[in-house]
Amino acid sequence: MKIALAGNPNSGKTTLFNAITGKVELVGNWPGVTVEKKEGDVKQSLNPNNEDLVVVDLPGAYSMSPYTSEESVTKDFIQNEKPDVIINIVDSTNLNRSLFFSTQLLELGIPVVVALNKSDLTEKKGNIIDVPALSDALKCPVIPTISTISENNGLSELIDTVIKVSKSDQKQIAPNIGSTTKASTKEEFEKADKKRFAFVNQIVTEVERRKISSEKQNMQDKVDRIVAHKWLGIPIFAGIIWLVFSLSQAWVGPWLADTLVGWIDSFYEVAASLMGEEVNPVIGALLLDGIIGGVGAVIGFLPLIMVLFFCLALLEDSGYMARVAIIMDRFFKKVGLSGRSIIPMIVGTGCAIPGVMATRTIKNERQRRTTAMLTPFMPCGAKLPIIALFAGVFFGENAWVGTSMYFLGIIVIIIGALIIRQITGDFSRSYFIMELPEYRVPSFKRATMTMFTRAKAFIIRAGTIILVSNAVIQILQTFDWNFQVVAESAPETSMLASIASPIALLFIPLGFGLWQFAAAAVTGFIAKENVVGTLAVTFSITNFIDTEEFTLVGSSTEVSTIFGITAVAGLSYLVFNLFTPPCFAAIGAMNSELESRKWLFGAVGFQLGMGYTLAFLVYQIGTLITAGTLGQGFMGGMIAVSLIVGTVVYLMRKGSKSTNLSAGMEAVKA
Amino acid sequence: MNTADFIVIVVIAIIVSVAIYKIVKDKKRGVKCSGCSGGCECPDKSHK
Repeated sequence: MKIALAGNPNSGKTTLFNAITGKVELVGNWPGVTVEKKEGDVKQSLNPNNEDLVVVDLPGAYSMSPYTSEESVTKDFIQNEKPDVIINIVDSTNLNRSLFFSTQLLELGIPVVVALNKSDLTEKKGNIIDVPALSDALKCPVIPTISTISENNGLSELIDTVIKVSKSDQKQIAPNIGSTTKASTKEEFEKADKKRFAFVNQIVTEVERRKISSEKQNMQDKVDRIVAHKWLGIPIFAGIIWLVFSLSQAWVGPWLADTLVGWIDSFYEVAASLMGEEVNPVIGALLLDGIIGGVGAVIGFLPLIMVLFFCLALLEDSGYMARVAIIMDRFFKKVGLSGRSIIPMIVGTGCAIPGVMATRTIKNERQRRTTAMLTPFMPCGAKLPIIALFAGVFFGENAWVGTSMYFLGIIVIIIGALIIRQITGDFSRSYFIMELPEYRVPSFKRATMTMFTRAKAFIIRAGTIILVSNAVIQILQTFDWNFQVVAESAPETSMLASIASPIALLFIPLGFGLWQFAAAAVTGFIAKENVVGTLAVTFSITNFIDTEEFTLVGSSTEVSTIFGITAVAGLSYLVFNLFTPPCFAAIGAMNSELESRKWLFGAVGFQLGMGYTLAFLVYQIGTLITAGTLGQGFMGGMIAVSLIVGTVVYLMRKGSKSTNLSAGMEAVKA
Repeated sequence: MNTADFIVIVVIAIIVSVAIYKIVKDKKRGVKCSGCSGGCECPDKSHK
């Protein structure tokens, strides 16, 4: 039996889906988190008779007439795949708004069971809903549910009712609203919608008793006046992000990482002692330095990432991140985007792929493509080890590095949007209306689950893509083109060095013209965590990084000395890796969402140009400030950057001209 | 090549094979990147 979960955005569909299937799909306290349908089986405890119950979680929709592409996923699924039963998730704290969609679902001829979700919040507010009266009015079963708790949550009753309804011979009759189903023209639809709204208002008046008037300013409004204030909102947001990075990369994270690195170190020692002296050093190094060392260097940063994701999950769950969309809307509107674009970017801080996919919620095509193109500029989870490594190695007090990279990402997005708007010549504006979720005490359980899901993903990537890449890197740097082992004194003769050295020439003006850095930057396109793994392998940092000191365990030589670059060059390398194109998988997601090869190549070219230019500026200006002279390769870099900037300016002027031309044509026609 | 070398090579081969198997399996399932964080399903999966 196929059961569809349908309801308004942010009504708690995915939380309910997770609760009845036992899955851990991404949830968020704002509308538009789910953009695709997801399937799962009802878990055993709710389905003791082992019936074949498949639940499909659908993206949120306000009505059956599609507005955004994820709404059409919902409409298409319900109309084409005809589920056996629909569980309509209704936000009980906002009954008036939710029931409009319910009345449309009831007219489809598919049995509907209403899950009156967030019942605990309704009770807390002192509101009372007459459930039997609501059930009578809608002519379908209504079950109060609380999907955020594990007991007395109404889910068992919900599933029992679904089974009962599906087996019943009695056909469900939709409430009589009027001739709403026969509408075919726009006017008829509008008339039908008015009837529907009147019907819903009548039901709500009859079944709901609200304690607090919505006109009165409540505590939430008072908090929003400060947190979402047009000027105060930005420093508050910056302070919160600084606090998150401090907890992750300066206070709690390194303390936890120290223990993990100790375990990895012990494992390395055990493996080394098991091999003893008998094993060929080349073969031994492949296992110890390439596989264990390379993967271990990446895994060592896991606690920092877990702390960061835990904090971000708490912020998301509290409802604060939805306010960030409102704060940023003012800036984004000026560059042709809207607060809608901030949601994919917040999702993108976990992983760029779901972030890029979340752009489907944006209706305007240019805005959607621009957001998909710019979302990877937000530092994703895979980039965090690079931030942590370089912040730790070159900048002792490191929380500001992560925070500034986060905000630099936002600034780059704003500049990027401005450039793309000029190039495309599309100056259309859109308005952002978002239903703000209520503030709530964030759930530690949900945050912990989110943290572990992302930690699991990180470990899987380390054990697959990173492991294979590091093994290949170790082989390439061990042998030359004649398959002879490279002498320790001549690492530049290796296959890896000969491949990476020509690329390294391009990086001289950026301050890191060494083949090791070039190789790491290139492997970063496979997966960004590879940058850290490849640096560990190519610089033979076999004894792992002590995250507290960022020195080699058992040696006094600092990692920064081994790297052989200045702090400014380190910052430049960090900027380059953060603002050049994301990993191939994210580029693949961009390809799906941009739906245009021209846009895709433009996006990748733009990201390459942006990363190179920013790194050049950071290195040259930074060196001028710290050393009083320009950095190496200034002239060559200046030519390259001038070419990049010249191309962008040319395209921007061309875009503006074509807009003026078409505006002129329109005027002549008029 | 002695026995110890052979054992280490076999261990490396097994580790790398398992990693490649997981990557290929995920690709076949339509997952764009192994262990994609954010709990995301494959972007193309629902279109199949």
